[in-house]
Amino acid sequence: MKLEPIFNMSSQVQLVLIGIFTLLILFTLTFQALKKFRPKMNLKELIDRTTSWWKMLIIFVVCIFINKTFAIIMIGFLSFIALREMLSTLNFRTSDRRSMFWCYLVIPFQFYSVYIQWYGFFIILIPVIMFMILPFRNLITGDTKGITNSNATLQWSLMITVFSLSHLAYLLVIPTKADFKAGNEALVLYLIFLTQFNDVLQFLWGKAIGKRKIAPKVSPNKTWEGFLGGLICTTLLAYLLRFLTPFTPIQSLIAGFMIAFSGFVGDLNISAIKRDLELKDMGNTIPGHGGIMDRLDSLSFASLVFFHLAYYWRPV
Amino acid sequence: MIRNFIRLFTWKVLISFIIRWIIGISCRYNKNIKENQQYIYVANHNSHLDTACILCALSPQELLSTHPVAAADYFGKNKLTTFLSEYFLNACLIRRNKENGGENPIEKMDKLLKQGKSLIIFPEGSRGEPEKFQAFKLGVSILLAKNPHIPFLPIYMNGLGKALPKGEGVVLPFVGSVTFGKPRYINKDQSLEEITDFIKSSILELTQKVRNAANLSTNRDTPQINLEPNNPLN
Repeated sequence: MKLEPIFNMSSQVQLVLIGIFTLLILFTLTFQALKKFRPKMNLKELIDRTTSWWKMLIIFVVCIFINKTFAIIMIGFLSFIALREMLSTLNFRTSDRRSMFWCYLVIPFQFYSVYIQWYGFFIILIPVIMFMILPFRNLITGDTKGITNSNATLQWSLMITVFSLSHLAYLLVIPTKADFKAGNEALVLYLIFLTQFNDVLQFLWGKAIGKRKIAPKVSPNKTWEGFLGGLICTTLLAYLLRFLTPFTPIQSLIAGFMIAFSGFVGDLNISAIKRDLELKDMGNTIPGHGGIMDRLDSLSFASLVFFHLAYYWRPV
Repeated sequence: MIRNFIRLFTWKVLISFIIRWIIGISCRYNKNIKENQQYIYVANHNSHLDTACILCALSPQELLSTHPVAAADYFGKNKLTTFLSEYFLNACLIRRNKENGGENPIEKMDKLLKQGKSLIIFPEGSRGEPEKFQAFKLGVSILLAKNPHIPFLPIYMNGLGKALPKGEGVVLPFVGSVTFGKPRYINKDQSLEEITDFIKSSILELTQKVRNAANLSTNRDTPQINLEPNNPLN
């Protein structure tokens, strides 16, 4: 069978998407069968999760593969929702309102710099320029009680939502080798599929053979077995799916390992924040999963690591 | 006819989009509300967004027959604001202090109820600090005592006071929610204070529900109840 490109979907991307849809159909059928034959099992959360996966996958396909500009705008909107959730969940003072407004204001600039491929501005806007603007706005307000905490938390919220997700958008415009035919959208698919599937694999390995807890205080369900099982499987999968990337086999193994590892750390990072705030989930936007940041937790770190690997390996 | 269309478009399309997608407030339509029934919507009041959120959550039919009760000294400051709030909000403007004479606010609201209209009333009177309750005024209780056949419907809103607090001009995106309770009838022999307590407790019940749904621990941002004596509207 020969696949023709549709919109920005190359034949390689279509092959992987067909694989993902098959996988999801398989999961849905399994859970429906279990629900029918073992009605006593508590499957509500798993079924909710799969339904949400369907919705997220369809939204993802529509947003990323139709048009590059549209994809950048939609990733920008996603980072806006993520930032909104962060700023609403963390405990800010009433006097932080104006600096919070500046945080929202930076999103269009960050994604416009992606659109015009101005790497220098893109990479310093939040870590350098906002690093100075936020304390400046806070000291104009003049409420010094808790200002250290406020400066740090605002900056950090921007980094973990807008900055890391804008790297996902920059993957769409990153320069690649001339003989690379899968398209930049394939890189985004590669990254997101591996990060999310790594979460699923870690969960499955942990359920199957998990015994030794890896971080009992932060996330009691995470085990060494789950972590290592996920790490090995994701690295192998990264090697098998390397036709989506311009990487050499060795590079794809390194990328897979780094995605799995940084994804795991990002996941634990959000879990730790939830423990600190005494929350179960960051929100209730996605049924079965929790908030946006509950789903983007691993991606928030993995996108940074993967982008800089891809950027380092770009043709000069 | 044209006015109805403009009002529906403003609230159900324009403002609804801003409130749901930009500000991030989930105001889902609720099954407890029966169509074609008259209600007195009673809610906590922290922001100018409160009325807008309730109107967005109502069905088109209810939206057209609902009058939010607003302060004449604020929304009726000049001819333009009076026109805007009466045209778009369908507002029932009442005087908060009765020294200046004029129409009795209770009678004005009662008249609308007799016509079969629904009312949105904030018993706290004016906007308070985010996530805190002020003392409830007696106006709603008087209306309910006069019309015991009309149920009241408690509404609890959170996060809106953070999105647009009192005295701020800038609307900030902030995740919040509007929660509708079950419609409730008052008992004819209840005194005004008892009715007020009943209303207050039914809104507080909703706060608990929201808290449980969000899995928040109870010591975080718990609404505090101001225990000052009620000062009646009249």
